Amino acid sequence: MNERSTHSMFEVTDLSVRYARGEAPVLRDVSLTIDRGESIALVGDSGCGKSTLALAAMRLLPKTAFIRGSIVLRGDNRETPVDILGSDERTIERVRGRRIAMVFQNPIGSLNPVMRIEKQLAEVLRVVRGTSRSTAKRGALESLNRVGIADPVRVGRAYPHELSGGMAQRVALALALAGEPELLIADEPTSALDGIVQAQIVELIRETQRQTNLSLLLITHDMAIAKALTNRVCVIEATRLVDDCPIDQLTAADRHAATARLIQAAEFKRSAAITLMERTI
Amino acid sequence: MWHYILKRILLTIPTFVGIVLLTFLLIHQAPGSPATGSAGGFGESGVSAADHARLRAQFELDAPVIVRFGHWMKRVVCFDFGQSFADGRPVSQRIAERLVPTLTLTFAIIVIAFAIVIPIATYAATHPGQPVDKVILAACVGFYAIPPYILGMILILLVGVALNWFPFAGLTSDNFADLSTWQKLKDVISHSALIGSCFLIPLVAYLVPFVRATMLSVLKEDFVRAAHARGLSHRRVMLRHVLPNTLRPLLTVMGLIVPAVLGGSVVLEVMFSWPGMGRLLFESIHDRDYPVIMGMTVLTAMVVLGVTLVVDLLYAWADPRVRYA
Repeated sequence: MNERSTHSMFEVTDLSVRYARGEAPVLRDVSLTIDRGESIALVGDSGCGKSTLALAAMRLLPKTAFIRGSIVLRGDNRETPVDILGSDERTIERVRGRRIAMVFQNPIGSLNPVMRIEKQLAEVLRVVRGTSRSTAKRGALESLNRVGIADPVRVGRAYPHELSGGMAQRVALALALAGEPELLIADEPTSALDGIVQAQIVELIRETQRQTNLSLLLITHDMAIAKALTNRVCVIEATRLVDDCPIDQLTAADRHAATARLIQAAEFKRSAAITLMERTI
Repeated sequence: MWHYILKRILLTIPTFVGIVLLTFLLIHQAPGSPATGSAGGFGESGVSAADHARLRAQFELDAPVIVRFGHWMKRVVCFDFGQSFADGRPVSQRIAERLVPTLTLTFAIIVIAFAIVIPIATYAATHPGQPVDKVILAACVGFYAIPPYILGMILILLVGVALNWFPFAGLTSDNFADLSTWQKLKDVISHSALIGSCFLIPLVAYLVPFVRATMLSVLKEDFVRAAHARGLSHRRVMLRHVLPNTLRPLLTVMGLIVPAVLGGSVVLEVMFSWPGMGRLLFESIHDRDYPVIMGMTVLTAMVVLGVTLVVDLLYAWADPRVRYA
């Protein structure tokens, strides 16, 4: 594991979000920190508010939303901290893609349907890394190679609808990693994919983390994926953060009820899969 | 792709034949004849019985309709549309001199409409539900509800007569021949300003809510949020990702606009005494000038079918997902 620094690089403090005046909050007083190189999972049932936290961290929530609390990106000691919720749009645009990047649940839907893959990659390379127009295309093929795509030329020429879900998620990862971010937010990155492809994407994220000192905020409802990718789990239940524990203590009996339920769900899913496999063989 | 284009072209042939045959039968079955004009009766027209018989023979009016259609088709296949009954000049020549103003106007209107619509619709779509958005939508409903001929009268009376800003009859001034090229251009544009506005205002009022709604749904798509998340500037996301996806469905609407503008030109060109295709059609129907009417029908059908075909192909080009459908 990577060397851990004493201060956290990303801090969420007392975050509360409501989408409209008078509506019930989707997040209530949520606080969490991520250290440099650390991977944490945000786990909870669907609708508990975990995706809202991810969008708030990128400041991608609708302008009409009511947000309280603070989100600060510190990076390493040399840089001045960025107040995500308070900075102007310019500053945030420089944070997105360059320091915090994100991959989404629906990989094909997160790509522009009328633009070839290589063009989308070249565009991001030009904007985020300042690559020249002439070298951006080669850079696009290289970044496809880096996310384990064997024939980058063919994939580069393709449109998003021509790709499989797994292939599209690799492309989305290549787009997210183009700016060499410090923190990757992965919002249910494998939920729309089938079993073997899920494992491949998990392996790809793990491999990327090993090579770079990337911090990871993984959002998932699947405790098994959380276990595979992270060393700390934060559990959200009905808008509140109810548990925050290292992955090796997950089996302990005295955890919060929501945590226990999510562990059980993962175990049930695993045993169901095994039973199904035994029956079909 | 080529297979698709070929299939698409072959499909337009029966449509074309249907349009032409139907128009031919309709116009020949309508009361009145070229020999008497649309007024009809022998006695009233002041044409003697002998002259009438001579005219009928000259125009082949006594042959059965289907025989006349056969003769006409035979000539059309060799691109011979015959002579106008009204003044004896070739039909192709009469149409050509009217085609240029109408097509130029149609093209200019569509270009100007898009130049106006895109900024307004973008503003409305990015500020949904806000006061300006509501005013824009209300204005669109209001303007779209005014029939073009009422709008034409309002513009003639208000801008043309009362304010005297623009001329409202004809395409050129009386001293047109003496003007320099630049003045000629200005003259034609000022003569087309009012009739152009009559096309433009309802078109813009129709397109703004359409583009706004399309853009709103594009803005909600995941890839827009993802593009922001990748660090692209708001401007770039709008221009490179949102606009291309918004304009794609507009291509289909273009296929509906062109025939609508061509068809709408009949009423407006007559109102403004504007020498385009619409007024030629009106005059020809009035005179029962069969060759000109049929020439116009062939041309209009070809333009409309051609535009629809081009729009279909453009659509396949703009949206890779329909390419092999």
